Amino acid sequence: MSFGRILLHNIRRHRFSTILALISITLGVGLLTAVVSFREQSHRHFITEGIGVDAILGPKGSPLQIALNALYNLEEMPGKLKWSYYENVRKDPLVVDAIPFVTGHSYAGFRVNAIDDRFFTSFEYQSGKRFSFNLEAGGQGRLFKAREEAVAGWAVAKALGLHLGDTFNPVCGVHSGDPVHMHDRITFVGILAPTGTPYDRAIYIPLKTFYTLEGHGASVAAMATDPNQREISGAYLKLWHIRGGAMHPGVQNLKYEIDQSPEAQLVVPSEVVPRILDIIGWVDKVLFIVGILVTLLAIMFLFVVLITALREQRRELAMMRMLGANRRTVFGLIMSEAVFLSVVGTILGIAFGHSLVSLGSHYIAVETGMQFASNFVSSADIWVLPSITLMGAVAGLIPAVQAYRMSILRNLNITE
Amino acid sequence: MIEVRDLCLNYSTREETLRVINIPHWSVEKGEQIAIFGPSGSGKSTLLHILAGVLVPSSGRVVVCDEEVSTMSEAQRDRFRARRIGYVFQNFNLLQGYCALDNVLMGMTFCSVKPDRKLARLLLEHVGIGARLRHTPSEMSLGEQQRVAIARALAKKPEVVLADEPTGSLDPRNKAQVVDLLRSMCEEQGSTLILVSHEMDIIGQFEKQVRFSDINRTGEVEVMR
Repeated sequence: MSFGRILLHNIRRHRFSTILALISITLGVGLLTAVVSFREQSHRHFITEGIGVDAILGPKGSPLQIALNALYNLEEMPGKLKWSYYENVRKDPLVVDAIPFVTGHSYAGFRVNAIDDRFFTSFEYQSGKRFSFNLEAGGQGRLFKAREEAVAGWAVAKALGLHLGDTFNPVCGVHSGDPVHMHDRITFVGILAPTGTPYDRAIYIPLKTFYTLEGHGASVAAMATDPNQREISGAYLKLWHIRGGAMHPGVQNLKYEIDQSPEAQLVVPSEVVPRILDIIGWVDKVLFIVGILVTLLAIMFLFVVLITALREQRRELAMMRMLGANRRTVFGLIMSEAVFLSVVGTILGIAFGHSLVSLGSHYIAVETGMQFASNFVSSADIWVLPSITLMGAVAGLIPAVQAYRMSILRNLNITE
Repeated sequence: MIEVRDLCLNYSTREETLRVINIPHWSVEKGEQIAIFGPSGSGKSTLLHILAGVLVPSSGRVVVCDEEVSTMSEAQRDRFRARRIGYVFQNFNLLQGYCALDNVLMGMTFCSVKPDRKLARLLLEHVGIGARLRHTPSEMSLGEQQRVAIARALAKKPEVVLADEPTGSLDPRNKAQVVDLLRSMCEEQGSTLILVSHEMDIIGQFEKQVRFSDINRTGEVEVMR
């Protein structure tokens, strides 16, 4: 009989409580790893990688609202911005590129953004990555050329089952019940390859199409031809980066000047977006604490399982001692059981955590367009195994010491 | 093979010290088969525990297989027991949940020899359990359980087999069979057998019998025949 066989036999003898302990550890560890994975992937998406926009030139109002609207297709823009002001900013030497856009329309629950076509030709949504219609990459068709043409983000096309040549009438607003531009039939001519960013969850029409949509009135129609009257919702800015990737220090002056003006502000996502994480941060803190508590309870449960099992096994362990097993062997058996269950529970928990991420990522992708990877290796995947194993070993210590100190004769009940 | 000199074992309470064992001198030759008898509580089993290295005497010298058990550390006694002692209990003390074969293998697990499944099977066949190798103790009769216990005790080919009331839980037919089996297997292996019992029909089968009298505790162990 090998040590391993004796160990497995002992575990099998109290398999019901063992399974419960394993489930508890799996749940706790799963919750912990999933929460940490979501947190770290969110941080990566929102802060480390971003989505290619150094700054948003927007109207006065809540910077957070502007960021949510311009980047994540949420909320509404708090106002409009004069084209002439945009032109002035665009000419600033610190501005490498500026892409104007107009938000405020929708179709089937997805935002319809009017945007300059350079968004698709020169804009990098991540370092070195541009939008593509390449069939191999998952895209189809081409960029819009005419007024009545549109391009769909990958997630929109997937959700609505869109094909090239399909048409739609944009809704003037982003709420249900808002009026529809009944006479403006727009045809999808392209579907973007997936980017794993919120850009996948919008429909794009040419900037000028917005001004010519029927029903916007004469003042908006005039904006199509007269730049002096033209208004936009905002513009994505690419700014001058110095060596090492940091933004040029002069950007702070530019931001100050724009913010001081009565009509615009410069919203830097890397400054504003962390506030979103701060606002929703309590959710993952609570979930993390719940995960820790569940794991601690699971470890306490493991302790109870081991103590109870020891009571049932006293006679067997005493008999093993009688057959020549030494104190260290029975100590090792109990400790090995604790460590084995902790390791198996943790490994199952990590797998469960990744399954939770996989499940959650689907819903996050549907809601925000951001792709969370279930195979993302978070810091929890690294620290959780040694930590829980150590905690399991601590839980096994008292029963193991009891087994170590156990009297052979008293437990065999063979004294005369 | 076994030599006991000035062996004392005392149990102390707050009020008094009770001397349980007091054997000035006693020895057993290699391959001998001895039956120890006496009333309950006289210290027969306690002597076996001392010989097995489970209990440490208060004083005196115990030498078993040329090893002085009385001066060994606990770890040394564990190793000594694993290598040299086979033990058969009245209540068998088989490991519940383990099948007959695994129980016998467990008997070899803690000695230095690698557990031998083939030998374990042969032993179980020899004691008449060949058809029930995978049966657990709860699926066997008392007589069968004691046969498995005998196979377990002899599996590592111990030099000394200590049997503590091995027939105490058995019916008369099984008693005779178990004692015959125990004696013949010890003889085959050349193991010394010390059997403790208070059943005179069992004791009568042994050529060498020792009365372990509590009256005689302060003096000598009386050797009959």
